[in-house]
Amino acid sequence: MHILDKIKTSRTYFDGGTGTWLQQRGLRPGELPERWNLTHPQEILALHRAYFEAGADIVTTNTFGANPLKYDDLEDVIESGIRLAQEARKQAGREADGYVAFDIGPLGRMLRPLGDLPFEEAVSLFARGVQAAQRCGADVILIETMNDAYETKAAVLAAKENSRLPVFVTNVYDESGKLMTGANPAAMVALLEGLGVDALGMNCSLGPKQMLGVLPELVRHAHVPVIVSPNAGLPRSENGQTVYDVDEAGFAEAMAEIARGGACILGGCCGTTPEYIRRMVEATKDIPFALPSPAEETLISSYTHTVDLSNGPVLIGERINPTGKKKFKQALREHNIGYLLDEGIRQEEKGAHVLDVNVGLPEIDEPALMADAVTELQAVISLPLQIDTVDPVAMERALRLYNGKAMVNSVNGKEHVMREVFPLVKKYGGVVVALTIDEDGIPDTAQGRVAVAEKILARAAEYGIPKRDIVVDPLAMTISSDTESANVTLEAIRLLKEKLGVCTSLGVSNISFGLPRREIVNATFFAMALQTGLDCAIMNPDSQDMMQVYYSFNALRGRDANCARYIEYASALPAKTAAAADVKAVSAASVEKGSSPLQQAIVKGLHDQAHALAKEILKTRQPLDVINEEIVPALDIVGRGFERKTVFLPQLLMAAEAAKAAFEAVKAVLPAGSGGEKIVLATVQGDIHDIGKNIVRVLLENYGFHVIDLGRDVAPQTVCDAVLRENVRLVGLSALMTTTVPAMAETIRMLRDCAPDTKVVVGGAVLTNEYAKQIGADCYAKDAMETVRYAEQFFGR
Amino acid sequence: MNGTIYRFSAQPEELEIPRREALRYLGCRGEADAELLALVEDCERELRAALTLRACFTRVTVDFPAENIIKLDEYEIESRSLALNLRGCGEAYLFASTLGAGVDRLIARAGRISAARGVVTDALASAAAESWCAQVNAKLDAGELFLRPRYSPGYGDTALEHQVFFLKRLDTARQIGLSVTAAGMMTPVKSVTAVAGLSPTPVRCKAQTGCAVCGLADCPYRK
Repeated sequence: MHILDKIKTSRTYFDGGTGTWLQQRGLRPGELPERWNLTHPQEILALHRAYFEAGADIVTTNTFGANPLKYDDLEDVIESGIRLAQEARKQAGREADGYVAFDIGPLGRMLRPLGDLPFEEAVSLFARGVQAAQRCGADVILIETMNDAYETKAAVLAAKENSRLPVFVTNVYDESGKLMTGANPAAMVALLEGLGVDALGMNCSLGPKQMLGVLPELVRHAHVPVIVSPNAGLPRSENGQTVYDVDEAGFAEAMAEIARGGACILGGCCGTTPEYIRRMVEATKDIPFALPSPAEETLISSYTHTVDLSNGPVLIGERINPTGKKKFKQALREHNIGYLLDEGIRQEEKGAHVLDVNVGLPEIDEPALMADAVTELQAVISLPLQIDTVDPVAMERALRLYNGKAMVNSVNGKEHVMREVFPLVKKYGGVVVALTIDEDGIPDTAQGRVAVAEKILARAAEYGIPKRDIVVDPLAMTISSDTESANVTLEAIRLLKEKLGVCTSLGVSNISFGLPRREIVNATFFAMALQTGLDCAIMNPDSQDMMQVYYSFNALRGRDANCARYIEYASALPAKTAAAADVKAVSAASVEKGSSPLQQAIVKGLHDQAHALAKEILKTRQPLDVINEEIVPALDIVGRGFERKTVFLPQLLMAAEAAKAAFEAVKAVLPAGSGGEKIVLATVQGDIHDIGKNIVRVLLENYGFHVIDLGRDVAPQTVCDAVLRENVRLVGLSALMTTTVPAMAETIRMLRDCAPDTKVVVGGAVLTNEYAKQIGADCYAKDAMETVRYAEQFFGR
Repeated sequence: MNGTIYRFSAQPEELEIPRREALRYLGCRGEADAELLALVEDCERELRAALTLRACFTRVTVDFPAENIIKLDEYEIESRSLALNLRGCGEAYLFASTLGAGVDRLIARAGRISAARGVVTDALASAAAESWCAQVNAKLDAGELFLRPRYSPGYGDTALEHQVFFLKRLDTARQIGLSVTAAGMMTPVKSVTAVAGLSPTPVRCKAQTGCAVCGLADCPYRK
């Protein structure tokens, strides 16, 4: 029987632990266990055979840590490992009903952005093992003990792209039911089923009793068989041996409960032995078998959690999109990812559940920018993303790098579009927005739009994409050109829900295009659409009108227990009359006060007040006077205080941000100008810490310099390219560790070659004046203010 | 030693986050003003919500095959200051502690919202990492023996590279999700690895710990 038929028709058993067995036979702490495939083949053979004889259906090869980071002779180790398991199967007489799983464990390195291992490199590292396993005739790939969702995804992609073998995955959950990097069981189910794995579950870390607490979450969401392989409880040392606190009988008893709880595939992890497996099989073999029967739900996920689109309404923030936004376009052209992050964080704080990401501009490399945007957004924002692009290359890059199951915007009824988009959704997983438009345009009637939706659903099914992974957008068209258009759209929503039972989405604000005071129409239409059954709205979370509709709708429809969320929202709204800028007296005697209210606000770091006061005095004074007579003197007071150690770093930064807020007010009335002398900043290659560099950036910007921030872990060539492209004369480099100073030296050396006139200022925890000289820097700055002073002096200010 | 690795965790509310220590990292002397304190309080609340406190430890044998050479189980380290710290010990605890990956994300995010928020969160997290490490340290049971002050790779003349041995021996990637980058940085960043000797006598060794062992005499953070 093929293994996929086996796991769908009867309870299937994995083997148990390997480490305990090997340690009892002389494996030393720190010794690589997989080496024993070559040095102690008889021991490994005996282990596998014992598990087959104990009743395991699937034996896992001794290849947990076999990856190119640890083994130069990787293929030999893997081939030997697989052959030994196959030989054991033969010896145990299980050739007809025993299976060999090629075992893949974590790489032991953290992926970017939390660590330094690039996603695609992780995929390649896993691929080497998978290729060997495919060659040697393994029956299935087991990716196990994964405690990070992103690394799990890399391993699954490697398995899928380099073999045709079934793929099973188990993750490590802690007592709170989360992976070490934060994902909950539902998020892992969404991610893994999106990638098309054949079975999923959990192993290691917990004993069987603790896993019972996590199991219901997996079973509730999974469509594929659920695997549970616990440890034999917790380890302790007894007479020089590691023993575990759950014995064979206790393990078997708990596993019976796990089987009744819906787990289809059972096994053991650390501390379990063939005897544990034998007792477990005995205790569970008569418990009736059933595949999971999850609720019909439309799940997308981030690296931490899911959003259920069928249990909305779900707000999709639309602000990461250049359409009609001059500053946003400028940011994209300058590769200013920070600008996108700020837009993302703001929408998250305003209450968006999902963020739409669109970085399409004709003159940019959209696939590259989309890849960077997705990578950086998911480093700081935990919301699921909606990948919004018409470029299939950009779409694939984004879906590949996305740490979860994304929303995809969009497909439509045109054949060539479906042919481009559906294979990507099938391969990487995702919930795709289907626009009801096809080769004949947008149907005028609700029935016509439903018909297009039906066609799209049918085509999706041919690709193996279920209805639950499609969200239909019946298109909101402006009422200014056809007053019937809102009625048609609303009727289409009603029919889509009633006839097809699909989730629906709308770009709500399109309804008012061409009308004055659009927010009034948008909010009313939003309420009507929600009442008709709209599940998702692509909207602006900054719009108070829209958010008011959202919160009050939920309260009115009984979706907000005790109206708690409405009350919280309403209480936080600003009072109707704007509070006048009110500057408290400055009390700290150690701080120079500044003579005007604006200067005081800046010195005290009062962001909103500084902005309001600047706007106020701009009514009577020239913009440049406000800068030169108010903002710059205030910054100088703080800067001098910092140098005299009467002002501390956080206060310096708070003042800098208040000054920036005041600057924003001035800039709004200034004609677009040059923006100051250019300085390139970067944290050098290999260094993933950028807090120091960010401090320097904030201060330089506040002293009017135009900072081109290249980010962290920046290759020397990237620095040179930016310097040449932007014609920059001053570069600031930061390094935190002694181990990354060589990368700084290399960057300086390359700059000397490509741009001999460019000066380099360096800083960072491990640097000193001497060290800086030694690596060829022009200046060492011990803190951010020194960098500002050097820049002022360099540019002759 | 058989190499049994023990895990230890705690709830975020069980951790003391020493605010004064964080302010010291920020260079603040004397009283912080109300605006700064409000910011610190806010950042601390966010930090606490992001903590996943995990640690693991194991016991190793300690041997001194030659002058200034220390053997932890089979692994050799050459270091005068570590030899001083462990002098007279036949065993030691190795341990690793971390605040978890959520804190790294929080620091990155806080820095995006505002640079001041970023540095304050970072400093609070550093103080919390020390505090958590001390809590784990206090949990180590010396039994009949006496626990020496903890000592980390990178202290004194002990090369930071030895950290990799600590992480491997403690199987930290699997046990607590702690690994190291190619450049030798721990991820999650707010993590500590250390060794604490077990000595048969309560005699305080002359070994220096913490700031005293470090050669960077003009360090602004020196206690």
